[in-house]
Amino acid sequence: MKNQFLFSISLSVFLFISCEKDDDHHDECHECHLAMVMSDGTIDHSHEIGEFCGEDLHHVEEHGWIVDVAFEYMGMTYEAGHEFGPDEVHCEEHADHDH
Amino acid sequence: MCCLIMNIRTQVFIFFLIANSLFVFSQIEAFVVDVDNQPVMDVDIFFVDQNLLIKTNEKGVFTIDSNLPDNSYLELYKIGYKSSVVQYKYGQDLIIVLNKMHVELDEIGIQENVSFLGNYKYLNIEKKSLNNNFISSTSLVDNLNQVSGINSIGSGLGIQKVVVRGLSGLRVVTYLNGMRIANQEWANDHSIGFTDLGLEKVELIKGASSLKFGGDAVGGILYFQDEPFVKVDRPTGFLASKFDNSHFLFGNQFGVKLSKHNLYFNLYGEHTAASDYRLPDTNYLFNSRFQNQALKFSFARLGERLQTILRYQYNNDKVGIPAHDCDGTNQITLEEITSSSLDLSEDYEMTRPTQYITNHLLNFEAKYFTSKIKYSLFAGYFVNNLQEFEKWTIPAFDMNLTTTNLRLNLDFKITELDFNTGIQYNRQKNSNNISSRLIPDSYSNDIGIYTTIDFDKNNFGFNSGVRLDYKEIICNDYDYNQLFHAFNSSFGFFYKNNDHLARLTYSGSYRSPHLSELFSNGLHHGTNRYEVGNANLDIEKSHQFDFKYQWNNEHFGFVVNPFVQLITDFIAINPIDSFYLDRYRIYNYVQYNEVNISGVELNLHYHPHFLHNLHLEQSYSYINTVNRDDDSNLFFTPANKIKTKLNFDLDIYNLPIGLKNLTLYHLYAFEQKNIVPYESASDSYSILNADLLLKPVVNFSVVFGVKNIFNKEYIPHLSRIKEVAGGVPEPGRSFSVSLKYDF
Repeated sequence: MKNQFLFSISLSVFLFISCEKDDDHHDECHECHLAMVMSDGTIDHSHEIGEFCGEDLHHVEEHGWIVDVAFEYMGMTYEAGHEFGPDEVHCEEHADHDH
Repeated sequence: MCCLIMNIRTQVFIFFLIANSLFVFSQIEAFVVDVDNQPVMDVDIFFVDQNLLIKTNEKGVFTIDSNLPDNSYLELYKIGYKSSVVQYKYGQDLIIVLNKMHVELDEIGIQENVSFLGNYKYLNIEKKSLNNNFISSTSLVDNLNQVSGINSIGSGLGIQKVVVRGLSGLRVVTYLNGMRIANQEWANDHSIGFTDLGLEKVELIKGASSLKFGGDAVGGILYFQDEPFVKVDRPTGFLASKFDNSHFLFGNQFGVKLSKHNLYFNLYGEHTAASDYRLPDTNYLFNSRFQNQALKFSFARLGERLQTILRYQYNNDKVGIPAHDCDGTNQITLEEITSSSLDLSEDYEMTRPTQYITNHLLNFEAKYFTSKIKYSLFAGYFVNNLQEFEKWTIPAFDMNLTTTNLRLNLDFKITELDFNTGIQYNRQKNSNNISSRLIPDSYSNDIGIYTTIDFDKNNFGFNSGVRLDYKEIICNDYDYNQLFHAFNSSFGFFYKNNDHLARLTYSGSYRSPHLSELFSNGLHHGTNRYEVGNANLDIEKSHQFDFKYQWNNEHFGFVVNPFVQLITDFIAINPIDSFYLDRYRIYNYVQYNEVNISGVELNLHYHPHFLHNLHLEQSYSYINTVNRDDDSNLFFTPANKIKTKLNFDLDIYNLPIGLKNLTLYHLYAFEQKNIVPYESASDSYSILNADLLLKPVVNFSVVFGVKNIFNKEYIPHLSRIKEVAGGVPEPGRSFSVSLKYDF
């Protein structure tokens, strides 16, 4: 009975601890995109600005993104130096499996 | 010298002989028999004040320590019998007769019992067992949902919170072992805050009530109670696991109970991980995943006059916020927020947006008994940390909410009157850990005194009570310092005539505005709202009349329970036609002059005489809400519902592989068209669930479950993602298997 009890407790503790996982995202990399307000007032999310990792990810989320090379998108031109604020930069994931 | 040693040995021997004799004779034997004077074995004897559980043996005998304080309550319960409550008196013969009764629906309150929330005869207190909830129910809130008048706001199993007669959030106050759970419950995306781990039962008051536990409970009170301590000569406990394929959920729990002399110890742990839930169309709702870890223990010393219990609980939740709409416009499609497949290597990982919730609960209870008075002291400390992330590295907000509770209560009797009086202090402090914030740093102090009087004689009884509260709320950021005070009262009476019981209760309640309602000013990603508080809000007051008539015999029980509630200065949050950052709609806190909530709940329990092991339990709930300011409805008024449960006990047939029980649960929700602007109507739906319990070997239980058998696509009216993408359905057909081993 004592062995049975000890076995049960050991198994419980193992199950409990083995499922622990570090959930610190600071070393992760994520694709980011811009939320751009179109001329008709809608918001477009399809312009990717690349993958950001670690401190770069933190920086772009905190301070936003500055255009380094001018680009044209949906009829609008964004010159180098144009600033997109942190609310206009999105790095969270969306459902994208197989649709 | 030799004589001296002999003398000492003799003295020691005599001492132990006397001590053992005292121990033997300090046990009083009590008997439980049925109406034919036959012993009833395996009756649960619950010592209410001691929170201790023992069982009768095969001779119907159980033992009581002779030092059990006078007037301690013993609750006796066994399936198939009418439960009984006995008040212990030293020296009295303890032969307790249990009457057979096959109507055992605990929800309709036709059984005798003792309640933490007050006397069930005068108050609308309902109880629901949570024993084995982990293996027999998908979640704690899903189980509560089976009670008439109870609904839930949520999205899948990850986010669920209880709605009582149409009210929720700050108006439904939750207590866990006497401690108030304050976990930023103002928002629909902030869940109940703990799981069923180690819980024995929940007591519930629908509507404004409970002078003892204070104001704020305009909508109702949920009082969760841990499993009792047990007197055992070896460690006992359980291991349990479950798998539910709606969320690909894996959950594990363990529990251990020990006792020695008058010391008792319970320990529990849990880990649950769930992925995204599957919709009826077989797509998966992205980010509906969640994880939970919990650990709790309780330690008790149950002495002759002084009883003390120390409890600690840790709960950690990581909850994905599904159906996220970056633009806040609800114009996205279902395809954009669902996946057509699960990648199990990735889809248990937390993504964004996510809530990280960490709760620590520590409380201490002491009871001291004299021959006339029972003194109770309660002290509790609860820390809730809530972080909400939309970005990966920067939380949108990170708040600590600490709650301190102190309560001193006295129970005593003068002639035929039972008095319960006390004083309660509650302090809450909200502090932000980062500069981005939704609610500013602020705190409140609340002190209340109360007295209730019960009278019960010859099938008639009444109850009356008063409570006085002072609450100050201080926020230095807004230079706000306001004192609120309120006087509450309640009365109720009952009359019992044979199998008929009628009860009428009036209860008053008040709720001072919460910190979030006064000072919110920020973007709340969990609800896609920009919320603006209102520092001019005043106290919300409620008056409720609740009538209950019930009749039952051995095979049939029937309850009708109409109610009406008038709430003045009702605090609400309303959308306006403005947006923050052109994307997030702005919501303002406002106060309506007068709101009426009325309805009726009907319950019946039928058990055919020719099939004693078949039980049909059915309830119907109807609710109507009116905002008298403009004769509109209230936001999130629940749909009316019929809930039916068929329980078929297979134990008597001695079927192979240990088949024990089959349960079918059917829910029919009516359409809901009583809505407000910016709220959509909802269609009627019905769902059917089934559970099969097996006990193939001793101490081993297996439950197979099927939920939403017909894979019905339905969107509950209270779904928090009803307005997103035209409405996101609840999970489709799902299968579950749960295992439990008791040792």
